[in-house]
Amino acid sequence: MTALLEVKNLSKSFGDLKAVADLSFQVNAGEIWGFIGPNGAGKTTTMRICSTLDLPDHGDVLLEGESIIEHPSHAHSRIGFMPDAIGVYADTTIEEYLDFFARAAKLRGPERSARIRSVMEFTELTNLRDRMMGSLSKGMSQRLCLAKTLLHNPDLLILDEPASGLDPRARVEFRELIRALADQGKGVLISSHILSELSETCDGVVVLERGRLVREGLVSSLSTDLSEHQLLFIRSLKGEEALQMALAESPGVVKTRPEADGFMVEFDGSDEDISRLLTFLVSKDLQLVEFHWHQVDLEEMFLSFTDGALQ
Amino acid sequence: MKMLAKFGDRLNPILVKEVRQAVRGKFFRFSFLCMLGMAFIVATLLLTTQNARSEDLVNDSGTIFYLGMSIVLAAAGMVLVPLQANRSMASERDDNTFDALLISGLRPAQIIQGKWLAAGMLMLLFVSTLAPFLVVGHTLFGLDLLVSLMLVVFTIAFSMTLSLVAIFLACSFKNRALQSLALAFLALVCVGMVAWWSGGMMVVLFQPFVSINSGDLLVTAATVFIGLNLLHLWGYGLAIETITHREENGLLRVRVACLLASIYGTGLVILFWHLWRDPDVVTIGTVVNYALCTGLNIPTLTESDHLGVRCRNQITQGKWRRFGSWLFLPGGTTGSALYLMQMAILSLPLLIPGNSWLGMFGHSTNSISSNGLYAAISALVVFVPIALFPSMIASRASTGFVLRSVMRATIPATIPILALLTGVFGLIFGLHSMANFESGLNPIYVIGRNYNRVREAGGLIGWGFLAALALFAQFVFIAGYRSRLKKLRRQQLSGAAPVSAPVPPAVPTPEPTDLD
Ligand SMILES: Nc1ncnc2c1ncn2[C@@H]1O[C@H](COP(=O)(O)OP(=O)(O)O)[C@@H](O)[C@H]1O
Ligand SMILES: [Mg+2]
Repeated sequence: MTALLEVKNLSKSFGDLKAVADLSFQVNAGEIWGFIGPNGAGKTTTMRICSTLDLPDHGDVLLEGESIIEHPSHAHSRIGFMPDAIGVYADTTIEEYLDFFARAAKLRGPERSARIRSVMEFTELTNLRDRMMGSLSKGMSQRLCLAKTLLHNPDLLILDEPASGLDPRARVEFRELIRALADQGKGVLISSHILSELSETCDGVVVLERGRLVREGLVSSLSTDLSEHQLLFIRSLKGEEALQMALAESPGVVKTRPEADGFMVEFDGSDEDISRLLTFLVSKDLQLVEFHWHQVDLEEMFLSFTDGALQ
Repeated sequence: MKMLAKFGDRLNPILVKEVRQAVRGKFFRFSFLCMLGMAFIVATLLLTTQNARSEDLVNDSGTIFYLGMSIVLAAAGMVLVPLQANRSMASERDDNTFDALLISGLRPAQIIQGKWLAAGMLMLLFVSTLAPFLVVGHTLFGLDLLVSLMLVVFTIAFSMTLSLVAIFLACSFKNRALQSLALAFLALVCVGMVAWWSGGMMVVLFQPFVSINSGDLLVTAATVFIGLNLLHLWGYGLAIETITHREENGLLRVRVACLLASIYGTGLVILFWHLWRDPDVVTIGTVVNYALCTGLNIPTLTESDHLGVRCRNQITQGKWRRFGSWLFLPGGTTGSALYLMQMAILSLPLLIPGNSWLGMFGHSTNSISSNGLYAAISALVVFVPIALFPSMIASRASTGFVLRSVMRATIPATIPILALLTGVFGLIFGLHSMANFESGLNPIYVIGRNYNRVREAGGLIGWGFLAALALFAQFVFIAGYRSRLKKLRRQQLSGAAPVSAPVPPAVPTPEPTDLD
């Protein structure tokens, strides 16, 4: 099966600055892919190339196997790009704005009004239809921008930091909107430098740093990637040294790493081995207060992948 | 009703948007009121002064009324409308809405068209506010209706030209400083146009003692009008090119306009010859046409070649279609072929008997016609290499933006450079004063001599020499850019190296900055 979006060896420089270097990844239909990287990592640059607004120095971007670099006009009807900031037209209402882009997308007559109504309902803008664009709050603007992006019913959505500037509640709503779109079978590439925003929504992530691909894959496979061993978090009241000594004696412990008030332990072994480790530690009278699996979240993955260079 | 809705659907989306915005916007209301007020004041002033005048001066009043109205219309058409067009296009860039337009499904042609049409609508509206005043002028002062119609038509045509220039400028320069510079330039052009045009029309239309053949007037008007429209087509194509994706055939319309211009120019020369039967018209007309067409072709001549091959491969159906469309595919090579074709078309009037090729080889070398022919052919010999040589360099795929621009500038710059060079040579080699000027090395002199029907067999040789000199001058030009060319080549080679080569760890890369 050809991927919906395939980015192949993409490179782009601005003068001496390599904004994107040899980047490759894929997004399939019905999947949400997070595009993560610190500010200046090259996310916007990549997304602009993917939506034909910019040209790469090298590499190609394929939409279902066809190059959008060579056939940019084919891509316009199939890709919806939501930039990080919406451009405001003076003296234009929300409905007129949507009407304009619907006309541009060659929607005619009743079909156009139906489409405008449906995207306004989807993004809950119906009550604001006669508001002037200039008077919208950030959250409303973002919703309007999404509505515009959805007008021509694109198969692939490219969203550049759509949730930035939204309050937590709006953020949750936004996530739900995105999920609903993916469930309709659209492919979604969504960028952010805030990870918690993506961790629950995304099927896969592409982590970018200084224009280079750091890691790429499905969220599930990435977390096992991070360490071949299970991670345990252990905290005791007896102080670090005692715990560390006890851990050093225990079989199955591969590596320990001190955390804020406990130890992160990489452990190799079965469930019985873990149970035995717990019995052993208890027998040492270490006054354990915490002993649990550690679930790796996206934030942590990101930190470990990027060598702390994201500051 | 249904028809109307259907028609509304087919309207250019940008036009619909612009009109909606305009109706609400302040600029529009303000300028509309200004316009009405100005027309009203002019009309009132004239009406009140009319009482004091004697019957004999009615015609004079007509002239004054015409002048007043033309100033009002010119102010609106040549200042307000182009300014609004420029503002509207530039604001798309400033307000971050331009990208959304480019991927909205609108073709670049539609975007330019929409903006241009909106300017046209504004102009029509201004004209319609003037209509009542013109009717008053007709009934009270005997203002000729045909004259007023011409006034209106020409104002609209000039206003559309300026609006197109304004839109083109807004598309070409992102930089704010450049924008304001361009706007100032535009304002100057506007003022110049107003002065020239209202003065010119006055003389032509209100001086009964200068006898003007009405047929001549019509021919002149039609010539100006069609020429203006050809220029519209060309400028429109150029404006579209500036916002077209770099991988698409952006200069197609410019090519069509160039070809049409050559056909129109040829027809015009033949028409003039029929009207006036003067072989000089053929010579001068042909040389002017060569110069004009060379200028018009610069963008297509110097376009990068890499795109053409792919575009050609995309045309899969029909051998003939592929063959026929070849000239209109992107790239300097096809541009050069099209240019040569136009030059051939433009040379057709030289075949007119009396200006015939036979005259050149016959014994009547001192006849007017053969000298004219010499001049035309020598002009051709100069123009073609001056145009083709830089385009050869510019159309290479490896040529960067800067070099391409330099090459574009080289073509029109070559002739003045040549004139300068000959002057310098004259000084250096101490050619004595007369020879300095009356030398076959002086292009101005050679042109003058040929046109002045001086018997001179060496003209062609002189021009051939000049062409060689032009090539040399261009070599000097390019030598300055050789290092840049080399660097470009190096960049290309290093870019072609396997991309999977390990990227060096983040050495002193500039601190990444956030754009948002
Ligand atoms: N038009 C441009 N001109 C010069 N440098 C640019 C341009 N666009 C982006 N950059 C640079 O490229 C790098 C990547 O930018 P960007 O893709 O916007 O990062 P992100 O969206 O991940 O924050 C940044 O260092 C930025 O300064
Ligand atoms: Mg960004």
